[in-house]
Amino acid sequence: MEKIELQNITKRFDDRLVLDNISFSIDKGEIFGLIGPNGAGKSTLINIIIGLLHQDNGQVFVDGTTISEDSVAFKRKIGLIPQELALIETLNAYDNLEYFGTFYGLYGKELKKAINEVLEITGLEDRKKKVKDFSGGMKRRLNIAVALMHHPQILIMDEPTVGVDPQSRNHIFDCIKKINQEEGTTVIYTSHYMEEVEYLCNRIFIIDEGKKISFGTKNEIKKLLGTSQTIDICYEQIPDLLLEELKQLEKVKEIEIVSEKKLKIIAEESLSLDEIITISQGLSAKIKSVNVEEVSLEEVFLSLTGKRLRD
Amino acid sequence: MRILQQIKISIKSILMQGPMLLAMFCVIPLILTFVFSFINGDFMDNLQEIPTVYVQVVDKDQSQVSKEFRNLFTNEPFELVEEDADYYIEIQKGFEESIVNKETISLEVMAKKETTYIKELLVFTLIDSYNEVISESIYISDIDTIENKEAFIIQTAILKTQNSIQINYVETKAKNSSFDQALLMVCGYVFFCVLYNIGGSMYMQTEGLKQRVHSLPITKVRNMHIDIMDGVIFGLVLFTSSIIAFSIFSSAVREHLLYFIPIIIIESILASVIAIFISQFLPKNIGNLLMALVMVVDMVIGGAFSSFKILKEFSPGRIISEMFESAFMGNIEHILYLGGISLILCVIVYIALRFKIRWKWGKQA
Repeated sequence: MEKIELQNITKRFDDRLVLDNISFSIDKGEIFGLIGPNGAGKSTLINIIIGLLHQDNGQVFVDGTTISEDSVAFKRKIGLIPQELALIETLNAYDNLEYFGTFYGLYGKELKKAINEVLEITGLEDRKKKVKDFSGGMKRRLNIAVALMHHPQILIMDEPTVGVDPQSRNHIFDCIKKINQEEGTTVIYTSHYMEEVEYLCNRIFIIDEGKKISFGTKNEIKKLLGTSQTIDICYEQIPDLLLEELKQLEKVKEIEIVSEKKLKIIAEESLSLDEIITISQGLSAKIKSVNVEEVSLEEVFLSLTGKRLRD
Repeated sequence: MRILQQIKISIKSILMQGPMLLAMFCVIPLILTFVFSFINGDFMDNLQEIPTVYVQVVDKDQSQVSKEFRNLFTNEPFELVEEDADYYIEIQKGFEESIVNKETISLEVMAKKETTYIKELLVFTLIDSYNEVISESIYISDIDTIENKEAFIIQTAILKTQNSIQINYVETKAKNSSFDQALLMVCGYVFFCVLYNIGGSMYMQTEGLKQRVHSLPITKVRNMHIDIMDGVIFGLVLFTSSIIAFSIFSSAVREHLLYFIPIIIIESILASVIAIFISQFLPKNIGNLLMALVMVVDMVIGGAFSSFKILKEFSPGRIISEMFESAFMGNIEHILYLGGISLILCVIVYIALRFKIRWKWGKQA
């Protein structure tokens, strides 16, 4: 099983500590989210993984061996999508793909096939247009295409949707899901957009100012807040026994009376609406409206760090 | 295969920038050459004063005609000297006989010093005028016996055969024109422009491109080789373009084009290795400043004010300029000698680069 493991990574730039004893592991075939605000240390971590930066302490292991032992072999397995565009602007899309493709040992028919494949996946048809004449979204898609040409086992995406229109963003998400599902590619996805990571990733590592804030699945992280869901219910009239009955439900953490006809139920985990409706009907309490709100990772981040991700 | 593909893409990338690079490496150097040739060259001399031309004439014929020819150089602005002449002219034995027999005369003119355009013009105008005078006198002496219609045809024929003092001009330290003199200054500018561009492109590499390049499955040393190769290709394309542009206006370049091939190769390697060295060892701001400073110093001290000979000795572009000078003279030995020195410098810089990479990246190098 191909596993990436980071152990006690520490990095300083002069006197500034940018990564403080970071450790986590990424399993094969998972979409791993690395999330944090700008300047949190995400890109530094990526640069250490690809060997562009040396860590001051700690090790990066891939399948039990360190990158420095055979960096070329490791790099054959990875495809990097940098945050900034990494393209030769004076060339067209085809030439860019041809240039980078040769470094992965792709030639002749094999190279042409790979180019056509990634152009199709990323939805780029105008391959003869110079990159500098591309729109922002098209450049981003080409940036992704370059990293996909050699069918990498590990795809590292460093904020790939910065400055991208919603249509291109959805296309990028589809690409990631498709590659992950069809080829079993491990994806490391960094972003400061919580909703993207929430949508794509199995496990999430939250980092801020070089320090680990939280690590786990979405639900595990949300549990840290002690709240997963809030349900607002409006009744025609609230019977006396209703509050007592609802409090008996296992997942309910707290019930707040907002007004004479409105209740707010705070649940630790996702609560079944059926149970609430059954109890209400049993007490002849007519429901006028229900509003369910899931807790977002953004709220978790706010609660753990006291600041918003995009601050 | 991979290298060929990369060379193809590199050339394509350079050609895509066509107009801008053409302006920088062909049009601007040409304009500068014209400006310098006007300011620093002979145009001003021509307008202000006529210089004395020192000529040494060795008369091996010792005939009446050869003595008359020698005496032409006793009048101003010429001065006959026995040594330290600007020009050395040798009159071969049989000079007079050849003129009488209407045969081609061989005359050897050798430039002994760094001469100027105006001096050269004076010497050759005098010889040409003498040539025309003797041709005309021969025509006039024969004209009475020929019919009018035929006379014209024969006159033309005579002029063609008789107007033929064949001058074997041996270039030693002379340049052919003030344009070529100026070109020797501007070739340094072109060199530093290429160097600055290669170094600049390394500094201008976006963080993204750096990340991508480092994520490629190649060693750091191989990455450096690719950078050097790209720089050499850039140099080859642009030095060749500038030489072609110069050759349009300079007969000295045009006539010695083959001599410029080794110069272009050496210049390209030198510019690329030095630029990569600077970009690897110095941070962006200092590196850019250093390259710009060296270019300006070369232009001001080594180029534009080349008459300050002591300063010129220390000019960084001097080696390039000397190679060009050697090419004008057809002196391939000197080109190869200077090229050898340049390549030794390249090897030293390359070794320093390898050490730096090994020291910085350890096993990953």
